[in-house]
Amino acid sequence: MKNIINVKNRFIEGLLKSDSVVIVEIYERFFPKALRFILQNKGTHEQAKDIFQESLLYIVIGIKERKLNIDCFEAYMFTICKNMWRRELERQKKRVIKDGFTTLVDKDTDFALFMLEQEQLELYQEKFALLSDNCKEILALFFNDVPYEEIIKELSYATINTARQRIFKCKNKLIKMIKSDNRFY
Amino acid sequence: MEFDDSVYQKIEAYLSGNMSVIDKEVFESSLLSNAELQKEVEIHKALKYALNENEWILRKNKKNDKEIVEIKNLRRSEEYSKTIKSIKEAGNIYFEKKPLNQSKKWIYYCCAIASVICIVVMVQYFNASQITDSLYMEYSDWSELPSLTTQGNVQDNLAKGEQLFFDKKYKEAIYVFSNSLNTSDFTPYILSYLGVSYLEIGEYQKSLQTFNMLLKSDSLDSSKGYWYTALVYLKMGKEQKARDTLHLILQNKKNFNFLKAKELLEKLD
Repeated sequence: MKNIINVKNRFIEGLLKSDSVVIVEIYERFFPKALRFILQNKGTHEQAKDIFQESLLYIVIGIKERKLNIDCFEAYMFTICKNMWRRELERQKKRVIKDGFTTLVDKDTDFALFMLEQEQLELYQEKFALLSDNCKEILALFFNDVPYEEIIKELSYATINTARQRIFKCKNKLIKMIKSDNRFY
Repeated sequence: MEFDDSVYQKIEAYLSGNMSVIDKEVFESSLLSNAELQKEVEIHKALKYALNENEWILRKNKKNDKEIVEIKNLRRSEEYSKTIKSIKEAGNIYFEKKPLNQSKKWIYYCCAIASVICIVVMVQYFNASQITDSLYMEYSDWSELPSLTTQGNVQDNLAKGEQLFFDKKYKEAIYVFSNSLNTSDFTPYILSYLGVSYLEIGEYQKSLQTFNMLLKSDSLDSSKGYWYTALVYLKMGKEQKARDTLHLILQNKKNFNFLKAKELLEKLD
């Protein structure tokens, strides 16, 4: 069933209506930034163009079919381009290691896989945002591989063990929230 | 199923590669026989990458995965095929490759023959200009420009100019900045914005003149003039002139973007 859409952004509105004038403006305003990011990360102009077009389609299908809600079009558009490109780099890496993910997939499957991966990522980030500031702070350090010695200094914990327990509790809480959401698979 | 702290510690050690060979073997064999544990490891791994943005977790492409099939079918549906078409057509307009009208196809064929001849002649120039264009896109990061609103004394017209600039209203920005020149302490900064604004609207000569003024200004930022001048030449497709200007930057390590200039020169070679 289609979602009921309440559009406040003119770019989104134009995109959903396939308004060519607005879509050209979207290219004019946002393509250069996406291009710059992809060129700086081992990509080509042609790849940037493809990623940008897939991102626009992602937003249309996301809003119309998958309850996607966007606060800031520009930021979201760039995030999708960035993540699609991160995914492509990961696939290239896996192709080199040949680990079983490497079978060539068609564009539609690829798009579907990205959409599901992106939705899970957003679910994780959304739940993380619901944690207390203290949990967010310690888990951010932990997930960025900051050693325990530095975590206790940074956040003034008495011992490594106390910090470890805190991380365990915060992580447990986060995982519980994620698992209890029906979007989690 | 819930796991205790010791299992979390094992998962952490396993994912960060801090497990002894023997422990790893034991852990991996328990993973094979324990689907819950397997799932837990997957969440931990996904969480880490979701939050630190270093890597990307790829979902396994299982046949008959309902969710994949559902999205695939959506993408292939008539409705979204039309969306793809309109996105691509708008792209063609943006990339200046407007689609052809059927009745004008004969013109296309004539032009195509002429184009083949031109392409043979221009291929070298074209390749070069594509390269310079790509490099220009890669290196022209205007977010690096110093903010005019955070330099202590906020001057309203400069803040307004900066806003116009980032809204890509370059002509209006040029008007504001030109009027602020010589009446402000921020002259070198204003010259940077002004020169880039001219560059963005294709007024290359004015852009070069402005950056020349920046070079001649007696300020710490004057060497930025070389960098921006090189970018103007890149955008113009004048590769040799861009190179010559980049070489000027390399004459002094203190010059703005010394390392980037070196990197850019290597790419041009």
